[in-house]
Amino acid sequence: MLEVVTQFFQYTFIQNALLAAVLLSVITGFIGSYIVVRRLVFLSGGITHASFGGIGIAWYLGLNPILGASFFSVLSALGLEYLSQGRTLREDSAIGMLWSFGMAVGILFVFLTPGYAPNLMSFLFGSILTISKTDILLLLILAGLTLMFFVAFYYHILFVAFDSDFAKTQNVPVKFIGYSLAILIALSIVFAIRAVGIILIISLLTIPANIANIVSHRFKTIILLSTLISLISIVVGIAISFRLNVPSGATIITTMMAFYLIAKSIQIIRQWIFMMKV
Amino acid sequence: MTNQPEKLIEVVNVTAGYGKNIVLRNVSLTINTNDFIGIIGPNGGGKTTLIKLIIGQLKPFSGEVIFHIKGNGSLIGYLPQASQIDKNFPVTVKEVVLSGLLEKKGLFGGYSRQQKNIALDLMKRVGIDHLQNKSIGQLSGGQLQRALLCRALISQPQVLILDEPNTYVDSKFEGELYEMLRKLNERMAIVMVSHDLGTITSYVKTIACVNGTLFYHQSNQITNEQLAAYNCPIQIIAHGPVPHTVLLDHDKVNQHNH
Repeated sequence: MLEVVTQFFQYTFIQNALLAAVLLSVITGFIGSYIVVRRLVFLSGGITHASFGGIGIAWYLGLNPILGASFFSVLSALGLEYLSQGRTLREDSAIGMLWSFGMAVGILFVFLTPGYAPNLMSFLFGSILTISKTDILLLLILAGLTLMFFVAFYYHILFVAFDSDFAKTQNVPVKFIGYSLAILIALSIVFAIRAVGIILIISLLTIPANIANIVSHRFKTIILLSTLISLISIVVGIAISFRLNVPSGATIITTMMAFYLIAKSIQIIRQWIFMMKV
Repeated sequence: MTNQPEKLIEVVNVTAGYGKNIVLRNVSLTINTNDFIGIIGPNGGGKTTLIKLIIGQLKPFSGEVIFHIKGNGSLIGYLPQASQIDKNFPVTVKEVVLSGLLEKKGLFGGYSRQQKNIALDLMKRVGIDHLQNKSIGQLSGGQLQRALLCRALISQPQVLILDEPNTYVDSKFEGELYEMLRKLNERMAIVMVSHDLGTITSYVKTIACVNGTLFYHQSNQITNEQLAAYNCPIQIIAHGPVPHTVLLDHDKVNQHNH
């Protein structure tokens, strides 16, 4: 057993993957918790899929796909934040339109690009085991930025999310907080694409925070717990993927969901016991 | 305290609404120190729109809202309707109350001991100090409203704005609430939106009726005839001896025919 474990850690790609796991879990812990408590899950799904448009265009132009995706997702996140502050359009409809429009643009440009697109699958399903040094550097910068932003503005973030009308009466810079977080969400999504892929990111951002919310009703605790849960799930997911030789994005999400079901079951059983005592 | 009223918030000739829909036309209202204004009016008449203008959440189509900021206390303390609050939000009662001091707290770190004590005092005054570490999802509507009231008061605002404060409150606390407001009124102006004309008239000093436009009484006494003329909802206004003061022809603050 021990041999298997030491062997596991000897591979460079495993070391890279574990490093990425730590950084990813910081991002999912902080940004994911915010998305969940502010009910921005659907919006984040929209941004994720819209970013595929950027990947397609960048691919066609021979540019770095992550650069194209960043451009597309930041733009759509800022657009959606602007719409949500103005209330001129039904927000869910705006998200729905953007969602598939981004995918459509992506498909169109990938199709127009001459030659075969071998890495396309990696954008849809991701692979933390093939993550590059550049990707890790990007994740490191983003995790650092996220951490600094949350440490500096923790209460502002919490109470703009809780009641932005009231925050406005207290002269809290509601727009600055809203737009900054929109940019952080967009970048988190894009930088996580390499690891788990467009289709699976939304679970990465929502499941850990929801598990944490079963245990705690304090935002701070939810952030820290979901970071930890996310780290454990990603590492377990990588190990399973390595052992069974199956895609890592899928094993990570399945592991998270298993943890969620366990936590939820314990909660329900404890509720039963409590009710029987009463 | 000076007895000479000073202007705190001025709504000047404001027309406002949403999209292409105009809800309020040519509305003017001045909130002075010492004021206790009750805002009444039918649903859809623009009460909420007026409040949104006063708290600076809505920009008018035309006209302006002027905020006169004096001293170092905050200008506005706002109590929203409890139904606007997401009760699943992971936040404790104490955190909600302290969030009223967000403007005064710098970046990084938490609140000072002194600020925490002020919060505790306020929670004691409205009887929710034993709930301070509960998450807001565990509170009743009335308890949540009290927590939100503490949040509105903790910054010692110059104007307290209450949107339907009596919606979830039980009748026992309602009386306490109004007595508390009467005392608070010695230190701050109060603007209160309410459906309940019966209670409102016995506590407020002046009444503004909002129905597309605004009619402002420099008195808290209204008669049925006047209410009918304004198209305001007529509910129970007979508390004690029915007020029968006949007001002079009310000067409409604004002419909406132009």
